[in-house]
Amino acid sequence: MDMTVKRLVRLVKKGDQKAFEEIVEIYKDKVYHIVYRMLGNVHESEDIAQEAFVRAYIHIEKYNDAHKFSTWLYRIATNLTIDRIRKKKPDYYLDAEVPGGEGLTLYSQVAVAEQLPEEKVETFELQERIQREVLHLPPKYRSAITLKYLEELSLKEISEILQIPVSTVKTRIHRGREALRKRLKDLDG
Amino acid sequence: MKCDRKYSSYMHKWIDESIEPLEKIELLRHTQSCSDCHERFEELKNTDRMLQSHHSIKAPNGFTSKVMDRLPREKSTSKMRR
Repeated sequence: MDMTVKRLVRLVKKGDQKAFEEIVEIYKDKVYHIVYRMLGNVHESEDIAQEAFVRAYIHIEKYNDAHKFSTWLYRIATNLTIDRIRKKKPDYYLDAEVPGGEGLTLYSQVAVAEQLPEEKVETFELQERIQREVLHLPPKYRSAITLKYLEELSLKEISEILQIPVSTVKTRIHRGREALRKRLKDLDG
Repeated sequence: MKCDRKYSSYMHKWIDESIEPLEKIELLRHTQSCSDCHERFEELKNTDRMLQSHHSIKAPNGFTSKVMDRLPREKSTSKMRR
């Protein structure tokens, strides 16, 4: 797959938008996931995630294919998200998370539009609770935790995305997880 | 907590699978005799499990075409090749 991405990037550098469309298809879920987990607002997350791809397209010449494309793309997305968080009032997230706004909650996207059986409701509530607690973390811990639990990203990759040393990544993951331990104490996983 | 801070660090290293064998033994010995640390370790492992169970999210419908609409105009005539 990495060969495919490399080939697509070469085409995009030559000006092929169709090739870029394929790149968006490949990475849209991961990018949106990162942004949403850090931001917690459906509308804003979509806007930022789209913007991340637009920036990637505009600056594609700056991408050096000696590195993984995903690392570069996730870095753009993470930086844009952190910028957005800094511009916001801290208590904004709490409001943003109240479900039901135009029916556009997180779960209108992940869950199927059918009646949820009892145990699914519990999962749903647990999922929502975790999201809420992650959003309470200071942004620097939030980004480290989000990337750590996104997929099989190595600490090295996370350090390249966040542009901080591996030792700092570890510290942030540990501190973030420690804070979450305290906040999620009352729940059984 | 009055226990050595190193135990907390071992717990995280355990979860991240980066703990050294000797540290592992030390941690196990300690948590067998210290109920506070035992509980803390259980809570941490539980937190890790919950974070792992946190669902992946999919981009909203129509995402790709919205991105394409936001791109600047195509630079060349590559359309013709497709």
